[in-house]
Formats: sequence, C-alpha cells, structure tokens
Amino acid sequence: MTESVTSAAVTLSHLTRTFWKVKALDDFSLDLAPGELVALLGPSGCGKTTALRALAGLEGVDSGAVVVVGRDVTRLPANRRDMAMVFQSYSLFPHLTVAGNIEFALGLRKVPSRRRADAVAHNLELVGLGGHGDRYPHQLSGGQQQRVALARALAVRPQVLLLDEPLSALDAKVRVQLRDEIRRIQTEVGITTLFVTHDQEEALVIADRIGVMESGRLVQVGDPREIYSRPATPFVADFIGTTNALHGDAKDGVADVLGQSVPLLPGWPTGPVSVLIRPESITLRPTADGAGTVISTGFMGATSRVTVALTDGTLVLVQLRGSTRDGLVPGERVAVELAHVPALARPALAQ
Amino acid sequence: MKPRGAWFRRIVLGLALVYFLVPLASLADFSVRFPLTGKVDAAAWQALFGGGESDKLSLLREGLTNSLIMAVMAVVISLGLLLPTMVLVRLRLPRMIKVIEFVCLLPLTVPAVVLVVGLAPVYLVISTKILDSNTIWLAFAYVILCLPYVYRALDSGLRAIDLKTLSETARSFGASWPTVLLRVLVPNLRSALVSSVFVTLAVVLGEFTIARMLARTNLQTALFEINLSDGQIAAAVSLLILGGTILLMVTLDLIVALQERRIRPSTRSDVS
Amino acid sequence: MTATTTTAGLDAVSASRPVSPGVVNALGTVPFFAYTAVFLVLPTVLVVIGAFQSRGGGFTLNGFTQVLSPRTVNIFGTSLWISLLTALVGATAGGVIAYALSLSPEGSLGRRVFTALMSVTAQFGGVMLAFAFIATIGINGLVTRLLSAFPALTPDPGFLSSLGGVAVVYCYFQIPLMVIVFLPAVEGLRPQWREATENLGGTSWTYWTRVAGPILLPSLLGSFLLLFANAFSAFATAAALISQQSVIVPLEIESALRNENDLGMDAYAQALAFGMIVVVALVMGAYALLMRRAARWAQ
Repeated sequence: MTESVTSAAVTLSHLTRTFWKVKALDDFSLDLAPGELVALLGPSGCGKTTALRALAGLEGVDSGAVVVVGRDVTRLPANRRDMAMVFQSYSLFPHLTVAGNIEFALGLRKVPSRRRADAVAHNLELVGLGGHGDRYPHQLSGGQQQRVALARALAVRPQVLLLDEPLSALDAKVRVQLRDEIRRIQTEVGITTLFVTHDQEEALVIADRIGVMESGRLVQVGDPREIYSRPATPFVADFIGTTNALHGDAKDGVADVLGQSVPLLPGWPTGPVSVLIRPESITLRPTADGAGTVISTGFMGATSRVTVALTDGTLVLVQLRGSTRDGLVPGERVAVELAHVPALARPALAQ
Repeated sequence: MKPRGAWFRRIVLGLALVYFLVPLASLADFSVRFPLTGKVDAAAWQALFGGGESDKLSLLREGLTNSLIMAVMAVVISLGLLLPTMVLVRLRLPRMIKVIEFVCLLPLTVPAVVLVVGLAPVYLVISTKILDSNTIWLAFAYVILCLPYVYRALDSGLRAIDLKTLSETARSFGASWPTVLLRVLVPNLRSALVSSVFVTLAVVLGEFTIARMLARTNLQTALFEINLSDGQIAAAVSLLILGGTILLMVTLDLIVALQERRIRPSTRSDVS
Repeated sequence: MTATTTTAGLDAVSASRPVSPGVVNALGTVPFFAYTAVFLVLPTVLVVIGAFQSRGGGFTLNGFTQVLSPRTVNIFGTSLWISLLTALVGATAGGVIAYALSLSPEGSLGRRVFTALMSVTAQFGGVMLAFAFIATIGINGLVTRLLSAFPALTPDPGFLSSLGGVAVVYCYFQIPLMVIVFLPAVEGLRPQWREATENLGGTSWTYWTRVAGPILLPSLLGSFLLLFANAFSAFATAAALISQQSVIVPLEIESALRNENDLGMDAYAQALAFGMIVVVALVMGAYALLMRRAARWAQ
C-alpha cells in the first residue's frame, strides 16, 4: 500500500554559514525533486550535516534561502517546518515505549487520538517492527532503534525526510541490511529525502542523486553512475571508490599511458598528467617482459585484488574477476592493459 | 547554544559563587577583628605562625597531628583493603561483586552517629585489651566512613579500563600479581586513586562525631575546644583548612585533567 | 594464540594445586570481610541487639518506651522536618545550579573550578562550617554588620543557635551535594532529544514537561532522598551551633550516651540509633530503586 504523501520540492539556494571563522557552508545550492532521495556525501567536516540541519532549521544560515514547495521557510523555526529527522544515535526518547515515541510525535502534530493507534501500527509494520510497540528503546538493538526512529519520522507524514548518518553507528552487516530497507520504504512512500553520509558505498547504492561536498562547497551533483565514472575533480575521483594515478602524456583528448592510448574526460590538461584509472578497468597478462611485477595478491571471493609495481615504482591496484587470478604469483612479470574507458586526468605533480 | 542560556548560566553560577565564598570571606574578617572591641589586627594569625607556645596551640597541634596520621592510615588501609579485593572479585569471583558493593555502600545507611554507639564497646575492648587508648586507632573506624566513596571512585576507575585484558597481558609476560597491581593497574587508575585519597583526607580531617562521642582529640574536636576560648584562632584555622582544601582540590583536578589529555588525546576518525 | 596458551598454562598450574582455585580466590576476600565484620557489621549488630538489652543483659523494651515518649517523638519529628526542608531547598537550588553548570562548555576552566568547589563544600566538616556561619551571620558576623543599617534585614542574634539557623547552615552543604549527585543526570540529557522534540513540532515547554522532566524525575527524586538522609544523619553542625538542649536525634544520642549510667536509660541510646537506622535504610532503599530505574534509561 503506497502512502499518499505530498511530495515536496526543496530548493536550497546559496546558503552560507560561518562558524568561528570556518566556512561550514560556502554558497551551497541544491535542488531536491519531489520524491527524490539525494545523498550528501563527503568527509568529516565538509559541511554536509550543517546543510541538513540548515534545512531542518536546527541551524541558522548567514545568507541564502531554504524553500520548500514554493514557500520560503528560512526564517521559520525548526518546530514549524514540516519535516522529520532521524539522528545518528539517541534518536528515541528513552522514557517512552516504541509506541509512545511515535504517539508523542503524532500528538505534537495534532493527529486526533483515535487515529494514532492505527498510525503507530501501520508505520511499525512498514519498518518491519510490528508488535514491538510495548518495548522500550534500551531493550532494542541499534538497528531496531533506528527503524523505530524512521517509523516515527514517517508517521507524521512530513514534507521532507532528513537522515543524518543514520547507519554510521551500526554494525557493518546491519548497516547493509538497513540501508536497502530504507531505500525500499522511501521509494514506497515516495517522500522527498535528504540523506547525509560519509560512506560512499552507501551513497552509491541508495541515492537517486549524489551531491559530493568538500569544505562547505558542493563539488559535484549527479546520479551515482555519473559520479563514479565521470568524476568532475580529482577529489571526487579519490573519494568515490578506489583509483590509481598513472603517469601519462596528454594531447588532444588522449593520454599516452604505459604505451597505450587512454581517452580522457572533458577538461583535460595537456602535457604530463596523472591519469586516474579504476582498478576494474585494468587487466593483467603474464608476460616475460611485462611493465609490471606482481607484489601481492588477495582473494576476495567474487573478485581478486592484485597489487602490481611498475618499473618507475608506482603501485597499481587491480581488481580481477576471481577466476582470472589463477596463476598470478608474487614476483611474476605481467603486462598492464588498460581498458578503453574515458578517464580523468590532472596535471602531474612536480616530482 | 541559545544566547539566553548564556545569561541564565552566568547569573545562576555567579550568585552561587558569591553564596559559597561569602562564609569564607567572613572567616577571614572574623579572624582579624576582635569581637568585643571591633579592633582589627592580625593577633590570631601571629599566634598561629609566630610559634609562641600556648595551651590552645598545643591542643591544636595534637589534634592536627592525630588527624593527619589517621588520614594517612585510613588511605593506606582503605586502598590496601579495597583495591586488591575489588580486582580479585572482578577477575575471579564475579558473583561476589554485588556482595562487596552492598557491604561498601552499607555505611551510607549507618551514619557515623549511629555507628559510634556500636563502636563504643568495640573501642573499649581495643583500648584496654588489644592496643591502647591512643586517638590514632580511630583510623580503623574512619576507613569504614570512607568506604562508600572510595568504593565508588575505584569502581568507576575500574570500569573505565579493560581490567581483564590489562592483567592477562601482564600475566602472559610473566608478571606476578603484586607487579600487575602496582605497575600496571595503579598507573592506569590514577584519577580514581587521587579522588579516593582526596575524599578520605576530607572525611578524616573533617570528622567530629566519632572523636567527640568517644572522647578523643582530633582536629575538629580541638577546633571546637579552641573556639570556646579564642574564636579568632578557630576562625583562622578553619579558613586555612577550608581555603586550603579548595585550592588543593582545584589544583589536583587540573593536574589530572592535563595528564589525561596527554594520555588520551581526543582523536577524530578521519574518514574519506 | 598467546592468550589460549596462557589460560591453558594457568589452568594447568591451578589444576596441579591441591586446593580448588575457587577456594583460594574466596580466601582472598577474607581480609576485606574480616575488617568490615569487626568495624561495621559488629557495631551495627551491637546497636540492634543493644536496643533490646538492659544493662544486666536481659531483654528489655525500656529503650523503645523511652523513644516513644512525647519528648523523643518530638525530637524525631524535628529531625524529619529539618531534613525534609533542607532537602527540598537543596534539591531545588542545587538542581538549578546543576542545570546552569551543564550549559557551560565541558572542560572549561570555570566549570572545572566550580565543580571542584562543589565537591569540597559538600564535604565541609560541620564544625568549621558552623564557625564560618557564626562569622557571617552571628552576632559579630560580617553580613550582620553590613546589614546593621537595615534593621529589618539584620539577622537575629539568636538565629544561628535556633533550628532555623541550623537549617540555613545545612543548606550550605545540601546544595553542593545536590549539584554533585544530580549533575551526571543533567549531563545525560542528549541534545538529540531536544532537537528531535523541536523537529517533530514541540516547543521548549513541550521538551521540559514531556521529555526532560520525566527523564530527570527518577534522578531528581533519588537525589532528594540522598539529601534527606544526609541531613538526617548530620551531627557536627548542630553540635557546634546548639549547646543547650537536644533538638534533633543525633544530639539526643550524644546526650543518651553521656547519661548511660542513669537508671532508666537502659538501651535508650541504642534504641535511638536503631530508629535512625530504620529511617535511613528506608530512604536509601528507595534511593537505590530510583537510581536503578534512571540507569536503565541511560543508554
């Protein structure tokens, strides 16, 4: 059963916020389409949480506007904005039961009492915790607590759902499980969502679009595939997935790397460059006079990771399908073959 | 942080500070102002530090000496008794933890004024048959008074370290139990030990009830007596003790804080 | 792998002992139990038994009869009343101060100094405290002198040696005790709870009445009880201020001990002490229960 939720369009325009001489937000602008899940991704201190809290109203902004469904809410206090937030930890009130937590929220939103029980039951079912209404937060696991927090947020039918690193405090396995569920529920309910995380894998898996942030600025916005394969800057390329930097010489949109031609993404510099190549875009072939020497191999089940040293000392990380690793031994000479996929180049650093 | 919170905080804490410091200021004033004539001089202070012998001062000296000796005894006994026992119980006898805790918190339910009623016959036996009637044997009872506070301090200290791993690691390198205690655990329990020592010191130096009811002389009973004849000296000594304790406590606290910052610098997990 | 060989080694060593390790370990607790038996349990038992024992060694209820006399009942009432009053004042003022302190940045110098000041003043010996107050609002006190220009505000010379005066001095150590005991609870209030309340549509009022209030209540009540027990057990302060008669139970105990050789005072001191144990045990029992509830909610 899909919830009919007023999917809201959100516009954050030119937000600036300075704390103690540090620009937490620097001319930050982002649009969220109705029903879309946008992930804000970046390292600690990049401003992603500040942006989320600015949207929530828990943090003020020095300049800029927050507009929700055409209404400017920038000056509106947090408790008058129609949003709901799930925190990284301590989301739930410890003195209330699971049902009590949700009812509390419903009461604040003036939902009539006769409808509250149904809303509680429905939303608990939605997150897979039907029947847990009588438990107290301290009796639940971390993952369960976050589910309840999500149920509570959804129960008030907000225009925007805000998730502040909701999975970061959980165990790896629970994290993976819960992130898929969050995505499933969000799609089912169709609610506009802003999801903050520092885990790039998380962002890639669940988001409709990703906004990569660095030092208060939005560096690139795009869908996961685009961010991954066409990073706009070396920072993005480094941050998302792993990447190798190989020396090459660039001219006319093509770089000469290890004697092979690699097409470059737009914006390429000329001359000596570092070309950023993903581990899965490289294959290895054992050859007596190959350019690389195998340093170490690691079997990871479905894939294998092989570290290869080039003649100039550069270490290259290669990802191969499990079966192709057979026969590669440390010390073996291999030819390093690069896939014909556009890569990002940046000017080579002075040696 | 809401701006109005800052004003509230400043006003409340400012008023509280005045409230708590005024009596100390009054002690200072009283010690130099002769009550009957209003004459201001430092006679009391001169008497204290001048070194002139008088009955009052010798009583004070006796009381102070007794109290200091008892304080040291109480620290040694309480830590020597409690630390090994608590470590032992946590490592080997987990079911006894609750029992030990109960016994250690029991003195909270048996206040000094009640305990002394039952201690009177005990000390009668001690002073006649086992030891003598020297005041310093009261230290044994003082250990009991300090028990709940020392227990709590050590308990929170032991919880903060990974006792099992620390001792097993040391043992696996061949350390004997005394070595484990003294060279591995004690250095890691520094702040807990400091607060135990401090609270024991405070309790013993401030103890009046038991000494009074058992007719012995300690610092507080001596002060009480002196006050009857020379209020100014009593005020001066009280100020010294109270003021000195505050300074000591604040200094110790700062030292411990600085040490902890060195051992455990706050690390932010850098994630990229 | 070193760990398993170590434990295997320890096990091998213990296995070669003729006595089971459990007994040896238990023996290690003997010093502790022996000591507390002599200096804690024994006196307590002597009080309990002594409350029923006459000088000749026979059973008597004389002690309790004395305790139930109108005069002694009155004294108990006064003790309870002053404990209640000072606990209320201490809990209220101390609670506000604790909250104000929690707003200060953690680890700041001012906060550390203030907290240290609270720890010390909570433990101040009653005698020195009494002197300090005599120096403040006694006949020749500093504040008395400063206020002498305003007769309406000037403290009565006999105030300090009255019950009211004792109560005022009690508050001086009740308030810091409250701050120390209650501060951890206030610090345990997570900022996320306040923000969640706001985010879901609540106001400051909502937060205090429906979130922070209920969460702090067990600790608040528990701390109040602790303050109550603390005042009820206090002796030194009253002894230093009041010289004429016994108005509270601890003073009566002292007088009873001094008059032990009077006929008709058999077991009186012990019965008084017994009564105190009962009151304090009940209060501390309730305190323990409340603290357990508060701990359950602290994640």
